[in-house]
Amino acid sequence: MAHVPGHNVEQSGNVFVWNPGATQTTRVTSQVPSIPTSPEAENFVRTSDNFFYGLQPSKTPTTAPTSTGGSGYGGGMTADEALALAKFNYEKEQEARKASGLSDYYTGGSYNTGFDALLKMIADQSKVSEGAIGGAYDRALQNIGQGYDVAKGLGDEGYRALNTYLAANQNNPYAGITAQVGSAPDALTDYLSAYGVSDQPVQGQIQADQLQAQQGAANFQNLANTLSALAQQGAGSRAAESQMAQLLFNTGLGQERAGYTSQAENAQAQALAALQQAVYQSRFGVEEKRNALAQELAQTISQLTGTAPTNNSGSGSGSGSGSGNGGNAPLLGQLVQTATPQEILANQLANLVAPAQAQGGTAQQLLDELNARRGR
Amino acid sequence: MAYNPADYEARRRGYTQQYGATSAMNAYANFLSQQRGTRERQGMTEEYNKAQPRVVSGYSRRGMVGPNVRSGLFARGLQDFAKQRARSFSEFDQGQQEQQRMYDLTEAQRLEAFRNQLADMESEKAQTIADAARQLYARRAGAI
Repeated sequence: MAHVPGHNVEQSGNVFVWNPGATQTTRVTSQVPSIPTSPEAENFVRTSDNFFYGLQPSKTPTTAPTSTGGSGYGGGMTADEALALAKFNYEKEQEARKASGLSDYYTGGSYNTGFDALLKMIADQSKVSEGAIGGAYDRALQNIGQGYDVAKGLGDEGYRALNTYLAANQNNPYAGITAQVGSAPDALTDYLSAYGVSDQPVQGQIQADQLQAQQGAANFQNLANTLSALAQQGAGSRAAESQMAQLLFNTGLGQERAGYTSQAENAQAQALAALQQAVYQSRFGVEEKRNALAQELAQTISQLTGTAPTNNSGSGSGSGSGSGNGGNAPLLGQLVQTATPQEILANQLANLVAPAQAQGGTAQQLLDELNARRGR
Repeated sequence: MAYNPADYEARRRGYTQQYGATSAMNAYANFLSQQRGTRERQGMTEEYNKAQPRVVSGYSRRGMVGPNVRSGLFARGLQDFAKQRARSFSEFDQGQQEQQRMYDLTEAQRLEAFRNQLADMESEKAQTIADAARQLYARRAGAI
């Protein structure tokens, strides 16, 4: 038997046993076996179109294998048995390929790509929506400010016209009223004197009548003055009312502006809260599906390999686990890091160089930092 | 309430026309009254002028007045006539003046009422403009 070592197949006498853990250290990506690059160079034998993966019957089987596959062969295999064995090996190899691919897909984090793209879309849309909300708020404030200016100008113009009218039309029609006393009647002085008769009694009566007329005129003048004062008081009150109304208008307008501004702020806050909630719900949905897929992958890999895999990849959302195993052997049930130790070292060095170079660090500083991380 | 300039102009025109028509009617009535008073005063003057000679002739027929005759009764009678004449004219003139004052006072009150109507309308217009401005502001701010 020309068994090819290192392909998870062990030979015990004439019995070939599939043992996934036998050559674990020969592969860093998976515990499942893989096909070598050049099967023929590693003693794989091609017969017609079929491979005898790792198996090359050296003699004709004389005893049929048991159903468990763990049985040996007595002295040789028939063609049917060889074909069945080849089929068995082929199916095992296919499962190994599938397990290896799924393992790489899982441990490498490739399955995160679509979810990361979705999360990026959500984040981009969130920024766009946030900008739109901010724009709407700015437009609302602009409208509120401009509307206030227009309304204030319009109202002030109305009151300015009223004040101008009131100033130009002082309502005091009693100001021009003057109570006059008529001229005294003729006392027939000349006529009386022509007959040698004195006019004194006549003059006395005329003076008394004039005095009475003057008293009546004074009373009327007092009445006119009182009415004039009332009219002036009314005009002054009207002017004061106009100013008060204008002050009230401007004050109310300012309060309304404050109210409208507050409404716009509340609307903005509500819109942002709704947006934030929608974004969180979307992200939650994506992460939920990502987690479900990861669980499904892990479950499938476990079923194929018999061990629970460990996801060593980091996702775009920062939910990934730690890096690598530090060169130590993987624990039981864990998938080892895909990268080689050299690649891991190079990666660590690159991570060190980038920030250190950005800070102007020297080569010695880089080396010291690297040694410090490696515990030296 | 929306601002309607046509409404205010119609109201202003109505107030002005009403005030103008009433003022013209009252002014014409006042003119007629003054004219009537003037005629009445002229009639009184003519009557007193005609009465003066009759007063003197009455005392003369009774021999109370004449050349070198001047009785006290004649002097008192003539003074009474002059006092009555003065009293009549004084009362008539005072009556005319009181009537004129009443007219002036009434017209002043009507003018005050007219101006108050216009001022009230202007105040209402300013308030309407202010209300319209606030409504426009509310629409601009999206509150309506």
